[in-house]
Amino acid sequence: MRFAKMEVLGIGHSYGDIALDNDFIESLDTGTTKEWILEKIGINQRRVTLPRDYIVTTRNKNPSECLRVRTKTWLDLSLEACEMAFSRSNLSPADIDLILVDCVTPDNFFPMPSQELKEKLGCFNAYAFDLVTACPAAALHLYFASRLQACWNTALLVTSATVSHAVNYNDRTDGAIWGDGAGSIIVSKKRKGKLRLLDTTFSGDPTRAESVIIHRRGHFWQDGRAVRNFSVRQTVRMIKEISSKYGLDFTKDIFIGHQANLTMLRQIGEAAGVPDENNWKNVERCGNQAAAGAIASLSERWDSLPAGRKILIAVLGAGLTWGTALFDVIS
Amino acid sequence: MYISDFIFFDREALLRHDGFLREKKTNLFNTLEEENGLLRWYKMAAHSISNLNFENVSLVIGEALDPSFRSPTFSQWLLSFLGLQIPAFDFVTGGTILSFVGMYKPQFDNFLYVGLGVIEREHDFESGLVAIRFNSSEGCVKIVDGEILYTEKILRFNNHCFEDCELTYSAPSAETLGLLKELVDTEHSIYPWFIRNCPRYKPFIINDSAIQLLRTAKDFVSGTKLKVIEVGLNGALGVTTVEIC
Repeated sequence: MRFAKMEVLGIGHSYGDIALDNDFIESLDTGTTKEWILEKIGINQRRVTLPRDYIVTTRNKNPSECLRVRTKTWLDLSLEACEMAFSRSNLSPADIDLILVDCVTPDNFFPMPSQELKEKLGCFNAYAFDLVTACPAAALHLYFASRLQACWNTALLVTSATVSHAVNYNDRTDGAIWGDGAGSIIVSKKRKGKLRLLDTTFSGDPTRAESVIIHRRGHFWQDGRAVRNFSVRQTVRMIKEISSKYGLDFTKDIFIGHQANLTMLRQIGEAAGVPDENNWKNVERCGNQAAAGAIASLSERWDSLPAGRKILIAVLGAGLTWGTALFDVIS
Repeated sequence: MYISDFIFFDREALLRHDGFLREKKTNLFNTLEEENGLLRWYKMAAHSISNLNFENVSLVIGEALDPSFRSPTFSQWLLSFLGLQIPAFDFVTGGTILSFVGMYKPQFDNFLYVGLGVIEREHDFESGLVAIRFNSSEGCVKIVDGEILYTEKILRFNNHCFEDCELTYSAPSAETLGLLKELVDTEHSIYPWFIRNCPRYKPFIINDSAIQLLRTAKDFVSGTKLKVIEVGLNGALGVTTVEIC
């Protein structure tokens, strides 16, 4: 199967505008302490789009209620991330001819989130589709776009989620984990960019699909222990496979994993031989932003990417699905 | 790209699978207590495609109208229910899969597309399911080329809750209608039932033209070229050239 060569022209991110620190999570009196959070999850702060007083008084018992008080939607976050990506790539919405969007927390299914975003951005030369698999969506988007042989040159790939809107804040773990965010990448088959895509993979095991559930009008639920253990094992497997194929050297090359949990990312780094300084992350400051986390971590460092190094994104999550994207930093 | 295998069910055919499944509980049922709504249709969809040959299928791409849950995706849940370890994700075209394949020429060999459109309280449209296996080397229908000509918003689901959902349709624009008229006037074209105003069938809510093509493909002699015109729920107007093999 043919694989299109692509370069990344710009990348952007956006986080929820309300910061919840561990004191706040402890004050919810669900049995969670600051010490427990730091030891088990390693998160200091999560960025959400729900007002603090709403969380305190309702614990988001009925997720439909939060739609009235939320400070931002998935679309607001996506627009901010896309604006940053456009600014960095010196492109305008008219340059885009394909849009792929992953959003597991949309307001409507039709019009599709991708169409809503296309219209708001004014990408009138683009065809827009939803391409969905939750947390590993950034890898899926690159994998999918690279295998479309015809009819596109410059694509906008957007991952966005406001999972806090589906969190039960009476749960001692979920409230401590989730943040909201969006990530946006502009890739091109014709134009020159800062990163060159060397390889991308996507796979999954749907027999584990019910390990992570986001119901359309209910709360997020996951079999945390099972997912965490599998995530560590499978991510290490992916890193080793790609490292071996491309001769990666993590004393200089970079790994970015699914930003689910700092403790988990450190375990992965230790098992795969990635020193902490080359294990890029934002989860300790932003919480788990689902599919946006890995792209946001890369976007934060866009202005100081180390030329000549390789960057491996290896992400895993709901589905259960997983995927990788390997880039060469070319400028 | 070729269509090498396919199956489709209307509402009545799907409902025949209901009786087999009443007792089968899943984690989603137990966790979320969703006994009604779309999950019942998901189960019928899974059971109805269980007889397809999944050998060598490398990827499953799903599309469901207003899914019951956002994660796992429809396709992932189907395979979970069937116990199949095949990578899967959802890709929402609004029901214009043939145009998409014809236009973008995706380089996935042996992939299965499963589209489910369920409308519980809608009298003008038919609920149904279509599963199409695409193959790069052989099949009964060859996808020669395709193009999505235009998109506009047509359908709006304005509520999170399926039981209370309201569908609103905006009329296709003059531009879409003009293009449609031009296309359906060409010889050997297959287009949605709602354009034909045919009282015998209700159009399927998604993939109506694909289902018509699959329903009638055997009636054409080998080598016949057809134009399949798809109108998606996202307002996409697509035209695909296919050849009967």
